[in-house]
Amino acid sequence: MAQPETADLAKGADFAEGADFVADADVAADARPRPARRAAGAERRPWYYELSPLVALDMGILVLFLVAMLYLMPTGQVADASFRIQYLERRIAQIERENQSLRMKIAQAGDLRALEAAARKRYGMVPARYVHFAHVPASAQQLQAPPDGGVAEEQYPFSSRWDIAREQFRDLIGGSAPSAEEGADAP
Amino acid sequence: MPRETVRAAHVRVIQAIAMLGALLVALSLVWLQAIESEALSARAQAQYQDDIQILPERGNILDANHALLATATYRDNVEAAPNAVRGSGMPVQAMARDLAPLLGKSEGEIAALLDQPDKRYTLLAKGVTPAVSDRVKELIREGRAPGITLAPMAHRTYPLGMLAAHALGFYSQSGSGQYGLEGYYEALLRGEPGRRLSYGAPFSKETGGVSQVLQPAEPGADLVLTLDSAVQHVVERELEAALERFGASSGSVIVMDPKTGGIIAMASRPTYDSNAYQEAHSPDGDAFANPIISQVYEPGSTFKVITLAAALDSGRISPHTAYYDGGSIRYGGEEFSNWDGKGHGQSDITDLIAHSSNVGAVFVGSQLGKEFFYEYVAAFGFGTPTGVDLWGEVSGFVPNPDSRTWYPSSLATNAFGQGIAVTPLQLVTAVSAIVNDGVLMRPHLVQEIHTPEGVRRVEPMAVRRVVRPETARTLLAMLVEASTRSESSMHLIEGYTVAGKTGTASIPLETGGYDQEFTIASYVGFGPVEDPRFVILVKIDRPTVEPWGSLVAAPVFRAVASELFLYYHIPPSTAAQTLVKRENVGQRQ
Repeated sequence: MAQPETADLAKGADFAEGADFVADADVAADARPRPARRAAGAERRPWYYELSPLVALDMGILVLFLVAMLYLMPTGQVADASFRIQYLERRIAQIERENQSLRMKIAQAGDLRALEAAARKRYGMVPARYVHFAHVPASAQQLQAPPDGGVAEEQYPFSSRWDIAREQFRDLIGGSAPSAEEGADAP
Repeated sequence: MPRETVRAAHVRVIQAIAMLGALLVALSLVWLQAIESEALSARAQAQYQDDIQILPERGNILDANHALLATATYRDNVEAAPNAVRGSGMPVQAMARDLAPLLGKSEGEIAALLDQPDKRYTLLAKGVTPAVSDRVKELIREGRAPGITLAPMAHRTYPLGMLAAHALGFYSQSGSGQYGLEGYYEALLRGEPGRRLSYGAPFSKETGGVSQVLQPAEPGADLVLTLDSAVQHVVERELEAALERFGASSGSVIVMDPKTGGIIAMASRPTYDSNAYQEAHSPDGDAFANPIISQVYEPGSTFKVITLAAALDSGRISPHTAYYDGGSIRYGGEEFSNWDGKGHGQSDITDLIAHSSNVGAVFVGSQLGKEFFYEYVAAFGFGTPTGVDLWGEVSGFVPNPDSRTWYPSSLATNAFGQGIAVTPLQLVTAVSAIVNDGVLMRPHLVQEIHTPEGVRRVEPMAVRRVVRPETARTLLAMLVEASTRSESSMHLIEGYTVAGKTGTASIPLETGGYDQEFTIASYVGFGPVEDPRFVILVKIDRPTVEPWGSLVAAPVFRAVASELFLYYHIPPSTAAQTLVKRENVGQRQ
């Protein structure tokens, strides 16, 4: 077998620099030319080693952008929801205040002093001078009584024009109040 | 020196510097993170956080029909951020010129408040009217008021103005309830404040963007009263009419449910508007004190009811016990006369009530003796607060028979209601006990307390039995009979069985003795007798037209009772009576 040329040896040594295990001593001891064994990983570098720096920079920026988006999007949504909630809370508080104001106006509108004054001045209201109570037979009471046993309708007072006129006439002629029989004209 | 050695030395120096730097950084981290951590953290929080108190909403006060008597409305505080004003570049003087007339302050005052560039908050005006709020909003919209904000603040309001002012009290500018229910139930009405963290950008000094509620405010409880604003209106109307008609300086009316002790209405004049309590003034004392619980008077003849109840219950007299009324009587070394100086001859106890005989009262007091008399007076609740749920109740004054200032004649005087000082509430509560079969109830105004946890009912509370039921019924029957024969019989109500007792009391003078010119005219009555729904005490002070309780106070009782019969749908007492004539009711225009 022919001895390898020095140049070939040098080439083989250079080549072996990339290998994991080809040693100079082995080469010296056994100068037979043989193909150097190369690790599979050493032969194939990662793909990004092949990228140009500009592309790598672009990709880095893109990754950063994606990470930032992934972080910022929920954060932004939370902040937005928080502001919405606050807005709605303020709105609820405002509506409650308006509601309270309306309740206040209703209470003021129900002021009996003002109502009575208006009724007297505008509509000429005068106090009732006579009140007529009607007696309703027990059977009728049972028929009309509410199921819960509340106050029956017949107990409510009402005025009769005829009774008032009759009483006023008695006042004029100086008579007494009507007797039970006279007054009891209700059923 | 070889180059490699020099290079190695340089590397070691750089390494040492780097190590030293790293050590310093590490030490700093330890210092900041471990030792100064809390202080720095607090400083940082102070720069971007504000711990704000959330004011609770004060509870409402509602009448028996849930009509609002006291509530919260909202008015704006006008606030400014002086640092923002400065940052806006708007001249402070120009803003002050716009704001001063609206806020009722001078331009100088407003300018001084705005010209504090280091401050981030100042209050320009508190609780402005809605009209002023609208004008300020306009200025903000037009860009003429940068850094100015409106903050709504709860404002205590009494929708019915003066109605039941003495019962309600008021909410003061100092931020607490005063007098009446507002004062008594302050702890319940005010609620509990909460806490909120407000975040802003560090160093911006602006807050309000984002906030976090740490602890929500707990609103105050709502109170539902036994007081009925419709009855209260009638009572106030009739009281005012009586004061005007009889030229009286002041007066009070109270309506009580004798079965529960619930106060249905209580009114006094002069009064004030709880919305404008600052304008109230009283020439002779505390303008806000409720005369029904805070002022005492000598009740006069209305107190004879108590004397009789004690004497009947102790068995010292019976309804048929007779005595001779010669117009005057001598007891304890002093002589006592009837109010009209007239004698009524041989009389019984019903005659005593009908004629309101002082001679008879002295006779009954003498039969009763001081031990029994004062024991019963104390049992009826005189001399101690009734325990009503109102701020500012006083005890009254009952002479102590064991004291050195007490004389045997004191018993005689006390028996017809002089020389003893009671509050109107004490008297109406004591009479209510007689009407309520002898059981004294604790008077109260609140029947329900509404809290976020639920509704708590305030149950009527019996204090004690004062007299036996038989005694109470006997006395009621005597009062009914006497009422038809008394001077005030004309003020009974047609169709209804009511009864009561007049009183015309002398007014003690600070200098000693009694006022010879003026009296206190009063009437305490109840109805309908068969199922009493209310007891009414009318007290008119210093009437100038007529001095007598039968002529001044009894008509007020009649007018109020007539309205109550209708309002409560109470049919006439007499089954046959169907037409009821009403007079002098609501005549005041």
